[in-house]
Amino acid sequence: MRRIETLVFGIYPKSEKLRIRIGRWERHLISTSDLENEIRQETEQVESQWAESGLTHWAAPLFNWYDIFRPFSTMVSGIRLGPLTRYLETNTFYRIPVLDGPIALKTDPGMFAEGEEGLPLPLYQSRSEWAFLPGLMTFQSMSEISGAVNEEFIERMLTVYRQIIEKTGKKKLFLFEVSDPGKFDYSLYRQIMKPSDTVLFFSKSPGKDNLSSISERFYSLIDASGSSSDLVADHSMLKGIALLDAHSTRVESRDLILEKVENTGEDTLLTSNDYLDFLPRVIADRKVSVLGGCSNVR
Amino acid sequence: MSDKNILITQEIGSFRKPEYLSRIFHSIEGKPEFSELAGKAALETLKIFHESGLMNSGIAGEMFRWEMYEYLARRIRNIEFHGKVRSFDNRYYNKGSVAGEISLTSSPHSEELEFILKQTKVPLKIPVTGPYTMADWSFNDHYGSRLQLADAFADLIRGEIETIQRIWKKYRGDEVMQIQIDEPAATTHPSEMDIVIESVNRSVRGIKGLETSIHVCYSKDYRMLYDRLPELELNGLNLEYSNRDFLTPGTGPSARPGFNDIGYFSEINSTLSKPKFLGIGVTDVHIDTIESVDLIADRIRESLRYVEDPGLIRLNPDCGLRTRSREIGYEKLRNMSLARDKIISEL
Repeated sequence: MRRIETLVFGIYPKSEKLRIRIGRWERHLISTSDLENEIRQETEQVESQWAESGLTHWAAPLFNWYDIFRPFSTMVSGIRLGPLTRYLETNTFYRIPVLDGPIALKTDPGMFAEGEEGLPLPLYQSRSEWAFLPGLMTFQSMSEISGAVNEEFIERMLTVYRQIIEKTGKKKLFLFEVSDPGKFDYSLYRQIMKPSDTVLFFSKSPGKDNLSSISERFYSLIDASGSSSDLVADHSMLKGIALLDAHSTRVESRDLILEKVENTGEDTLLTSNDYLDFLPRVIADRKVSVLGGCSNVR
Repeated sequence: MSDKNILITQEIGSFRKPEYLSRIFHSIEGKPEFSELAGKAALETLKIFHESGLMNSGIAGEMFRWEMYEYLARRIRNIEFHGKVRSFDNRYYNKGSVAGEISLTSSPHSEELEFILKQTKVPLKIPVTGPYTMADWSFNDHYGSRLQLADAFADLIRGEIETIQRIWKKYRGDEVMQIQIDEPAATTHPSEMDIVIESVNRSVRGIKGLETSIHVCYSKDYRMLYDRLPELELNGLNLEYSNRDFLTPGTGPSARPGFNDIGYFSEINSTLSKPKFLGIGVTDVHIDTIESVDLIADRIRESLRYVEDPGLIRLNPDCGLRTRSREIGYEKLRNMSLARDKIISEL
């Protein structure tokens, strides 16, 4: 029998209640520690719901992230918050990171601290062993570069990422790459995590050259575009398949998903084609429930 | 050419609602009390517009509508709402899901238009949310493609325009009815400009007695819209320009770099057998700063450097003024009118 594992990653939609509480926190009507407790409670509630649904893996739901770059703009020197910018071709906006100086971690991501124009740290309010991080090609291409940001960006950010993983005690790494991988050598991530404990997510297909200098298999490669199926299989312990649509409210059928997986004839890691924050919470919950129901490894 | 036909000043659409209406808008919507209060607010807004010198009063500041997406979507069969999705930070909006063939359950604009037509004879311009923006801001759980979804919205909007035109004719006879298709999403997916043009054209195609325009704002690049001018079956465009401009006076490419692409518009527009008008945003709706008459006059002069025929230029705020207080909104419109008068005296 083929292994079918399932994974939820990235920012997950908040409940109406938490959104209202964050609004009150923004207006200084509740304290930061009260909010931090509420975020923790909702995280625990969602994670137990996910466990019950049968999900194999999940990264923290990141209820305290306004967008996928915000925590880094506030806890890393050399990166500051820029203006609101459209997130890819969605109707969601993020504060573009402005890279304007030597990059170094300035805040302990594992400790509670009041955010500067962001929700409070710690970075991952979850016991999940997965660290979710934006891929460095994505980080660079979706940032504004002010002044001289040199080739050291990659090297320095790898150091920052390594420190984040160490300080938060995460054992596995989920890298989210929505920009063109270009000529990036993904073996560089070996510096911060073993490939066998790393999932690489691509919105745009990687090429052979991106992976040629690494012989070990990643835990999984996921190509959400679905156009580099063989390459993904060649470099993965579990072939990543993005079958949940994070941009449609139509809830997928478990039977149809399992039929597609059956046709691949391989061990698979099933997930979504984007993080689920683009959906209303009720729909995201239903989709995750279907996804969890597809797992045969818990 | 009469002065009345050059450098026409116009509103884009929304104006801040008086607090007595905004505070209880959602709780009274659909009840008799709503019509009364929205009507009162519309009359007061028309008065503000008149006192500011505005030549075209739009639809009296959209006092009958809360916003542009959900207002229409809630009146469409087979659009379902499952909850809010993030716009940015902790700001969320209701994004509808198209779950079947769409059609209107009631006319979204008839009550508002009929009320205003009963009250005034001033020139009006009716904003209608465009098909592409409706499609882009909805989940598509039914139609086979984005084009099919946008076309379905276009057919629905076309039906609404025909409905309100019947009301228009009751009060204004053969006077041309101005329709502005609001498409803030028009240039957000560069690869979908074919869908934008096809669906916008489809929403007005063949309806006689209209003057049509498209409103787009905060685009990264208007050139992709200008490139399609020959295919766009509308009479004009009303765009934002001041948000990308400086607040210092002066004319010329270095003083007003944000206006440079009007030259590109003009280059393409001059090749058309029926050139289109360009409504230029000469006041920024995202700042409280009230641009001086001299600054706005410089923005108009800069526009006239590129579009020599003043009959092809209209003047408007960048977008709806709902983002500013009514007092600031009035001041901005007033200075726009005074700047227009100043330029007219120079022509």
